[in-house]
Amino acid sequence: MKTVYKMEENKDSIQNRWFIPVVMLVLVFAMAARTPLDSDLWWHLRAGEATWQSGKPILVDSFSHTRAGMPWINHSWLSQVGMYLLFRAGGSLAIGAAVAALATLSMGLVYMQMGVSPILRAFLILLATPIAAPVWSPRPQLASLVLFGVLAYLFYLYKCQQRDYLWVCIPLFVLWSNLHGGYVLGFLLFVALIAGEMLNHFLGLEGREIVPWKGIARLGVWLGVAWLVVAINPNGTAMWAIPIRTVSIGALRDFISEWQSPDFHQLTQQPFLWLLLATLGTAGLSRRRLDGSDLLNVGGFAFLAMLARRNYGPFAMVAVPVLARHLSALGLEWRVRHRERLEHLIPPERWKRLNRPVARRPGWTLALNALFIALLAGAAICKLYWVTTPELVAKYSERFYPAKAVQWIEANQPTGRMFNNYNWGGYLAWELRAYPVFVDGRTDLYDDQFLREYQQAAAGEQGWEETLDYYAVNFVLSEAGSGLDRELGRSAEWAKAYDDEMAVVYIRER
Amino acid sequence: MDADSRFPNILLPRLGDILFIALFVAVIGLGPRLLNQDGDLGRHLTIGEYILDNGNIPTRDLFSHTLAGAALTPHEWLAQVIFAGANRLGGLDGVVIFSALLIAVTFTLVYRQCYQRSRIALISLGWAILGAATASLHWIARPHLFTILMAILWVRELERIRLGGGSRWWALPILMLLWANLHGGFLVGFVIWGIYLIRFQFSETSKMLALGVISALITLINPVGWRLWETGLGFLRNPYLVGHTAEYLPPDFHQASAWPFLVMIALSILLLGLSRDRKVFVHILLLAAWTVMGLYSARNIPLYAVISAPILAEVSAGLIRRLPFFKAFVQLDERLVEVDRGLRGHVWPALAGLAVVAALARGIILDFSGQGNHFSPQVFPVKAVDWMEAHSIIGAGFNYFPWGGYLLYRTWPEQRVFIDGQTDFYGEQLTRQYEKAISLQPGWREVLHENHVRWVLMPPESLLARALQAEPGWITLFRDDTAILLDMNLDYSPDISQIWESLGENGIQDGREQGFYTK
Repeated sequence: MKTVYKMEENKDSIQNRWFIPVVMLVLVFAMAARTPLDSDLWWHLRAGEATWQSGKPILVDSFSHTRAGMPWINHSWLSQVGMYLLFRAGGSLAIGAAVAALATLSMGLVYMQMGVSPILRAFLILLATPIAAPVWSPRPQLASLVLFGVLAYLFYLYKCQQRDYLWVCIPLFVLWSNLHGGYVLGFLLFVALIAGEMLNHFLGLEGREIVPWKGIARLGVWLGVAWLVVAINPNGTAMWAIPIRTVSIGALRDFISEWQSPDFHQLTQQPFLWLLLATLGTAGLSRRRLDGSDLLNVGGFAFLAMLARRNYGPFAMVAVPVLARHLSALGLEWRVRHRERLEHLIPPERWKRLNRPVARRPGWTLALNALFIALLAGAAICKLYWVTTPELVAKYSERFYPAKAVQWIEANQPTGRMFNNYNWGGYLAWELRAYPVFVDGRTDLYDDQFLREYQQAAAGEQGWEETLDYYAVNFVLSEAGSGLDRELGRSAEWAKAYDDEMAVVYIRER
Repeated sequence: MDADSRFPNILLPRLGDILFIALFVAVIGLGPRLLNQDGDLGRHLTIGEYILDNGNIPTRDLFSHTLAGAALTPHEWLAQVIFAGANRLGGLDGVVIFSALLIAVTFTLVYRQCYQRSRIALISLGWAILGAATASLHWIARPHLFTILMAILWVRELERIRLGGGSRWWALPILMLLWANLHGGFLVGFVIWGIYLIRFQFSETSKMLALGVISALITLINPVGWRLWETGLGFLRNPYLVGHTAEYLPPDFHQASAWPFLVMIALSILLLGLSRDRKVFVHILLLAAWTVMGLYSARNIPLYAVISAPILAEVSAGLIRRLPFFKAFVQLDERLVEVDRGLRGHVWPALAGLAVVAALARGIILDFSGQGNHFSPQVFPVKAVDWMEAHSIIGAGFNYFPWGGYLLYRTWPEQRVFIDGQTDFYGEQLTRQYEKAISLQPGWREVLHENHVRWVLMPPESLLARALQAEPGWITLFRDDTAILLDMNLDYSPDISQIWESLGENGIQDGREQGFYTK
């Protein structure tokens, strides 16, 4: 089908090859540069420190008194060491820079898979950024996102360019199983590709991008190999059970927002919906047939995202390339369909004049482009520096964590075991080392029943006294105004020893 | 054709009839769930009974003591009358039978729409069943069942107009007249109409516009005129109320009831991606819009189901016809349709209905749980209200929100509620007061005092109940696993006197009138 309005390739326009993607990456970096505060950051740092100092991964709990001495499948030990070393070398700035760099890398990997015009690619990546951004936090989960992107790129090379680098799966999955338990996302990507290509054959599709049956068999073999090499980690074959164990904890879904279904009443979560809608709409309107692998990737990861918000990132990474291809096809169809109207608006001769190569002045063009990028990069680095200054970090820390209450505890040294708020557990494990925590963000260490008992106690619900008695808690660091604060205030057995606008401390009176 | 070959044709039901019977029986089996999934049915029956008894539609509140006499928009009066009529005829069994009838008719219509667009009966059957499964998470005996039915009828007429059949243009205004008096969801009709309007050519746009305007004007034929629109839109514009109404929240995909919805979305992505047929733009728009609305609020999922199923049936049929693998299936279906056309056993749905009515009338329990069609004592304060009736509890009460409708059903007019499920009436201010009291936020005692609350009916493990039990000013009158009834302790008079005196002369007078000084 002849298309009049096809862009003539401009050999001098090297900006299309590097300028646009570099600008895009710098913008993503700027967006990802944030104050590195996450409730889990602190216990990761503590674990990384302990691992570095002991010379071996920490596989037994020593941060809490409720699980002291119990085995802990620490699937993120390698990430923790990396985070600790970064923090030791450069504090929040180093952590912030690492988060921004990894986030940029993950989006860059998506960019490389899109196969449409650079401007469209960059535009869609920037639109997808708010969807993936909630996952860009200083946690090992970010490593999973990057490795997911690497694997997706390997599959893109395998399927679309017939370049076989699947052997990379061996070091990839070995690394992944030591960095974070999210390697199961890689397995899902494998399954989606295998099943998708089988679907293509079933539907009778032909073409260069359809993986032949032999290729599908090879993928199956590499999937098996990947599954085996995941066991190469300090926890051994116990790593295989981690994903199932984690998702079966009902308390995660009930109490932790990132494990809950999306709430589209919140504006910050609507970008996921718009991306899903855009993908649905363009796939429906475009006459380009949806490839089986694309279909299963988009459908499968959309399903995961509907189950848990923490899967927004992987969804965005698989959906955006699909959206790009169909949007590009839709644009082409539209141009063909409205050819006459377009010719009426812009005569072909004028179009050719607009599309002619620009005068050759590559030196100036290069210099201007480089200056623009340098200014942009400078602004991004300035932003990174500003958001990670110790003063700003301390200010935000005080907003989210009970810094003053911790100072009081350190000064007054209450005796006995502590009961603490879940969200503060990691912070307390890092800052208040003399007091093992009651609970923290290691949800795969604390089982479902324990987390529900904690939640009921924290809310001051029926049975809170029994829970505190059972665990021999002697003092409580709770959120001011919480249900537990209210119940302790009414109880004759407990006395309020400290309070501020964020936290209260009660001590049991004997 | 001789008599012998005619005979089986009269006896055998058509596919649509079988679907109707299956759905009808399935919903009858879910009877207790229809009655107990939320607490609003009691309110609807109470208002419906009032209208039937008095012959007028209340436009001022008669049912709460907190907003007594306030302007009330009876946007569901016709549905309430119908449900009350079913209740008069057959009690709660009658309500369940009527609800089952509504649902079965709705999804039989969905099947017919699917078949009209796809021309493959088995595919249509599959989509109708999947649509029913998707919508089932909101199968409750409430007026919104009418909106689901109206939506499919409305789309059917709009589709007819889109395809050039404009002779039945009067159907739209008539449908809207009914809809506006049956349920506040009539606004949905205008959203759908707006989507269809987008794709009309200019010459037909004026006709569509005129139909829309006529339909909008005809909605003013209701007991409160333009206030109907004000109430509906006002509620939707209030983020606090929408955010605090469970059914307006997004679906929770950890619940199995939401999975059919996910399956439909997944299938829509699959089919739209694989299909190479030219798609109808308005269908894509409808599908996309209702997918978003279903993800935004769970109560839109049934509407998504009835609107999307025919669209997806058409797309899937086009795909199936192109694939050689399904050739035998298509041929089988053609033979099936040929046979189906000749069947005349339409009496079977009526027989099934009569059989169910007869069985329920004889006291045979037909629901899957074996409980029978009644308000469950595990969900509602049945025994607590029995106690209240036996002991003539007086004074204004504070009730658990989901029990408001049930309380009205059992105790009105002797008792009026503090609040019930009609949040568009009670508004943000009272809802916030209610939330303050049940979560013991600062000022919770004042909420009870300012509303002259004498007794409290709450779940026994609730924060408010536990707090009141710990206070000397309250005594427990009744308690079971479901509810606790607490009353003001009149022996603790010093505090009581102070409370009423702090409200001034009016407070003391009110207290006397309500019997607070009967000790």
